[in-house]
Amino acid sequence: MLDTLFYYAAGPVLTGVLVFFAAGLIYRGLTLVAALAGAAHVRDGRPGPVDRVMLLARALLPFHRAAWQRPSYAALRYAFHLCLVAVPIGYSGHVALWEESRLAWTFAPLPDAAADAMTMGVIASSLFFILRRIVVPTVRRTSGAGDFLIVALTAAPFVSGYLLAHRVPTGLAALDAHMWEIHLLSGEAALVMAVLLFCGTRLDPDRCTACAACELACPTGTLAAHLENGRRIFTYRHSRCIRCGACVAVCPEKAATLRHRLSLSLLLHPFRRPSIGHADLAVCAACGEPFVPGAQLARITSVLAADNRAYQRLDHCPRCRTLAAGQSHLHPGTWQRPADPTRRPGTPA
Amino acid sequence: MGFAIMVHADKCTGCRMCEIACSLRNMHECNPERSRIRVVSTAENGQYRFIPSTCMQCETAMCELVCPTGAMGRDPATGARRVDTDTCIGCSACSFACPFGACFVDRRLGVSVVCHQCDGDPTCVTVCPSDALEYTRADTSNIALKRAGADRLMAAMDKLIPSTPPDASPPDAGLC
Repeated sequence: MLDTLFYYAAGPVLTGVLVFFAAGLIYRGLTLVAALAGAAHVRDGRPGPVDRVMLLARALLPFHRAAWQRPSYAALRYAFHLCLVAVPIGYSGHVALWEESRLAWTFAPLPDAAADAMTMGVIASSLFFILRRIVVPTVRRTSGAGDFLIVALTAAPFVSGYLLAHRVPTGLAALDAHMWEIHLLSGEAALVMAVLLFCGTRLDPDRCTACAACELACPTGTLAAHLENGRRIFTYRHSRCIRCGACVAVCPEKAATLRHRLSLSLLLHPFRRPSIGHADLAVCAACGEPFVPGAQLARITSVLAADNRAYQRLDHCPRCRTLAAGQSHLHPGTWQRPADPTRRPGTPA
Repeated sequence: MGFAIMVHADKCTGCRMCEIACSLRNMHECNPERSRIRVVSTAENGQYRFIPSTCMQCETAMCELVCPTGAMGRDPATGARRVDTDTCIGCSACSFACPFGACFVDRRLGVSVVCHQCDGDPTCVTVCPSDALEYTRADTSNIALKRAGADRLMAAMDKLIPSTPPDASPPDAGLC
């Protein structure tokens, strides 16, 4: 029974997974190019060709402000992703498989020592990412089971591959006997996951003041905010995101982060704009119109109060503040609407 | 000592020339929505009141205090408030902190815009047909505001301690 299963896993299923992976890569690559082409504005104007290349480079290279907010962590992330790509392609055992396959690719493999080091690096980084999720309070608060699953699924083929390549006994005979099958299945799972993996903005609801600076900074219109029933709602169209990190760099509360999520529906519905966060607006004490996110007003009030400068009219909307200030300080004149507005001034009634 | 655009709201006729001229001068289009001076109007029982509102050039500015990126600075030449467009992120904190409602985020530019007094030659003052706007040294306008405050205090004290019968109080004492 199990042998039949593994026979299919190594044959048609593997082919299917590889085709799915390749098609997914092409599809995701095309959406990225389309999103870059559709980038409507960068800071101070419309993007030229150079700006578009720079936007792409911001996604692929760690040389932008969002990454350098935490440089060592960014370096680790980029190295981790480099190893994720390099080891499965370039490991000598896999190169032999590439040669045997109908693609018949031949290229110089990575030195085994380097491949081993990179594998250990991936495993160690994965452990670090999982531990970090558990230990750091702000990360733990925003992590769900899916976040752990992503890291575990990514690390699984590397762990099993290392054990397989070095014949390291795990202590469980059943595991040792089927390590090859485990490696194959976990690798297939990781390949499928890679297509369903979406990296995008997540707003920490406890930190976000809903100021919508991220919306203004977003060059592609991926992140949008609109008002609805006294609420500011943030929507996010994943297929337009180019992972440039502009929202992360601009966020004054460090509430925006680029995070991964697994989703089949995002792959199937590229034009949807699901909501990624919302905030209630505070209403003006004078006119009753919602005008500012409550969290932002609380933040402004606390900043001013810390400087002993909080004042009464903070709960008024800008228009009502002007009215209140003007009527108390500026003594506006009153102008009576004429009884007959069509009458020209200066002519007898 | 800097300059300030002093508002004489009693002279304002609500023609909104200042809004149009400001947007034309600073945004290169006639769009009162993008002006840095705004005329707020109220209508009660057919009685209109117009209050021009623009940056008061506060000495200790709320916008500067709440700005998360420190983009609210001053022009070294004229002393007027000026937003550093490179660091401003358009979060609107300044506009929700301004006591006068005189600071706005321009959606097109993506940054906060405040009156920078047109680099020492305010267009709104030039075009105002009824002299409701005046470009003065900030100490002059301060003295005028202090005098107005003193008048209000006098009126309030008159109400509290009626030295004269209420009928005899000046007719404009009720305005404040």
